[in-house]
Amino acid sequence: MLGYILRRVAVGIGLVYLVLTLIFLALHLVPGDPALLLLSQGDGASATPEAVERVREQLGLNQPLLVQYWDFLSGVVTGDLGQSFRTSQDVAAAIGERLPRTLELVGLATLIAVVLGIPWGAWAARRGGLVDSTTTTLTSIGVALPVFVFGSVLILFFSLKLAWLPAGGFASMGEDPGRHLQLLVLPAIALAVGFTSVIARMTRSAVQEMLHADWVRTARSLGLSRRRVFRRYVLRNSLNPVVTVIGLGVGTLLGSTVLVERVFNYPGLSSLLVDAVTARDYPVVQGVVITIAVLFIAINIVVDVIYGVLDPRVRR
Amino acid sequence: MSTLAITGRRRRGSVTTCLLLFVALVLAACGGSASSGGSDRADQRLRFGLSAEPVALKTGVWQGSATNFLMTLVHRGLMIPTVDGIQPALAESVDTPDPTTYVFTLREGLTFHDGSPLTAENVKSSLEYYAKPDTGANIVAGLKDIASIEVQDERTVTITLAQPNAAFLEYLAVPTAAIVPDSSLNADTANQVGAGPFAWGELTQGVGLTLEPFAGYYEADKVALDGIDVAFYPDGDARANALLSGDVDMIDYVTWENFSRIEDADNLTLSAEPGPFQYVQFNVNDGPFADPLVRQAVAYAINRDNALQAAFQSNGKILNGVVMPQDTPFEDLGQDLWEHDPERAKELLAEAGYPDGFSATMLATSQYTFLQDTALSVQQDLKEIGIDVTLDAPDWSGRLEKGAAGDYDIAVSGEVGMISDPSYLLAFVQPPNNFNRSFDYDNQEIVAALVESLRATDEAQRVAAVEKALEIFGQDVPFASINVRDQAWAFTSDLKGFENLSGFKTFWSSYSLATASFEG
Repeated sequence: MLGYILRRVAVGIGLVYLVLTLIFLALHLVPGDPALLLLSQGDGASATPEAVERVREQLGLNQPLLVQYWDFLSGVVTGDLGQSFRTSQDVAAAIGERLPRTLELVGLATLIAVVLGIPWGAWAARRGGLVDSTTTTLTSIGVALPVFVFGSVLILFFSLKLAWLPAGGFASMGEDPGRHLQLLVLPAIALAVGFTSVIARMTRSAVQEMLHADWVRTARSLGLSRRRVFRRYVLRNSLNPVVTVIGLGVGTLLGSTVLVERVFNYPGLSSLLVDAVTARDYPVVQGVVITIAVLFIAINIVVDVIYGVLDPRVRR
Repeated sequence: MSTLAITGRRRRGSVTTCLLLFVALVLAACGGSASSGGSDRADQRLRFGLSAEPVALKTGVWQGSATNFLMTLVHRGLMIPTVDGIQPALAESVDTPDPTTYVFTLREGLTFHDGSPLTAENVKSSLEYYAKPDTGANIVAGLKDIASIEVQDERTVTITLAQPNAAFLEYLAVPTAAIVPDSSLNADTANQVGAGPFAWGELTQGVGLTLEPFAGYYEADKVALDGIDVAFYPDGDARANALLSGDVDMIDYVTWENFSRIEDADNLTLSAEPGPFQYVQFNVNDGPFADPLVRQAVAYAINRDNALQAAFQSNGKILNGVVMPQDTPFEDLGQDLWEHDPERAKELLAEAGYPDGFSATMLATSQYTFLQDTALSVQQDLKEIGIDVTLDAPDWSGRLEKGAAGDYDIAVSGEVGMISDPSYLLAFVQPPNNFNRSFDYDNQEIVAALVESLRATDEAQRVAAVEKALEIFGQDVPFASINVRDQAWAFTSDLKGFENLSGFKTFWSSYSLATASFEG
């Protein structure tokens, strides 16, 4: 078992190295000069070539690519992700600030989606008829609706028309917990809509399939009530595929946060990544990508190990 | 069984109701701080939605409008731009005994935010730093006439120029010309300690920044705001929404599609002034655009009304010449160098040897909608006279690099002059190359005329020189102007005292927040 885990970890480290190299190369291949950008923000008098050259030197961008690559790799190994070109902030610190915010958003959205999606899907499958067809229609819309459109609609109603909730922004939990939660509500709902629909659809079809299984009829004929059969057996057995969908969906949610964070001006990891790419802030882009890669690879390793524990055949 | 089922459903129903009630109660409890209007204002703290997250402040370096916003609040220079032109700021008075001598007398008891005194020595060391080209200071061109800076006493400094420079004082009023402590005069120290009305408070990366009033400011008694809470709103719609929903009291850079939303709101004021100008720049290195006749043809082909409508919903005005400083003798010069006349454009093309037109690439950017829309409009106009233009629209970073490398035939740009004096055009008509100047363009005749105007001490002579420069400009077309766009700030109507500086300086209007206040 130990050998199996070590193998998985070694492969994981190899993968992280591959991601590191790819992102480094990709950044340097894409056109765009960080130094020029730093000195050409928005409107204004333009920078002199001397000034651009000087900034390039400060950022170490005048070094040969191989030297830059080596500096980058040795930095990563010692846990130093460098400093942002734009804000001079430590990249590790920036990620430390932003990651929890995005995870909080994704966590809340997942909670909403699970709490609403599973009962909704199950209800639709059990009731059938109008409830079922309405559910199918609504969830189709939910899946198809882009998060930024739904986000904008939420802002229009709840912030601009009703003035119940702020239109966006961020307040730290420590300083203003009330406002922190308020600011979380709309982006979490916007993020959760698509996910809720996916979970509801999955639950609905799984439950429907299960309801027609032979053992359901057997259980009924043994005298168990419809309710008891449904609660005890049908729903529980239907949840396996749903759990898989939830696992996959959380990853997708991380991607959707890019748009939600933009619409709601939420300073999470995704908006940091997008801003950094636009500004060609190499250290920040590299840092964020590494963090996400490590997260995904680590989750995969954990899943692999759990499979290994559950099913010894996988270990071979 | 059915009875059971019903009670079951009822129980679930009541649980849901309880949950909904709970959520509603929590939201209502938090609701007090969510909505806020102008009426029930408890304090004089301004909540400001800023259009970008400022980068780390580097002394003397131009870093865009977001950092300049902070510069206008945290820092002060010898001079300051106001709606009535430039006025002394840290300087109490400026004497010019002759056209090359400037004697600045500083106000009494000036201090920096860190408590250290601001003396004539600081003026000397700051300006000497800004005059060095390798510091990246953006006013370097304006200071290169300085022959000597002499400290007379703690409050008096005399600057001698090698030759007269009509724009010298205007350069000293640029936000990046602030007088800073010696400890900030390097590339590594964040330029956060100044002598301005507000001191740097706490910065939360990606979220915002607080600015606190500075008791040692020379006009501290006139500062009414208790502080400014800046929140970063890079997205134009999110920024407008924040103002409309009352999350912030004021925003900068209102995007044009949001003008009417804000104008229609009862308690909000939109303050728009003509700002940057849009234009077509050329790669004159080789190809058809090396020929002034072809460039003229482009200038005559552009339907400026269409472009203004497409990119700015007509919020601005068309520009048939070049921007000249308002309320000055230059005001009316060069305003009708070209006009929309496709027939004339075709004639010019034929005269240049392209009766059937040709094809070319036009550099725009996908990142700024208004530049993209301008490009599409110009593309249509050029097609009409036979120039078949292919659009190249990378993101802004790619646009900058291609522009700087001359990797285009023509490009659309928006730009302001650093100063309003006609000599701002010097940067457009000679090397060095730059991403938003016509690539490899160099016309020493225009340069000579503009320099003549800059050096002349007689007003009539200045006007005549600029007139001469613009005449050549119209023929040689260093760039083909399109329009001047309105640049807007917006705020709750109970905020009084904010003054939008017209023209290129509109981005620096936040200077007036030093005397702004909320009035019930």
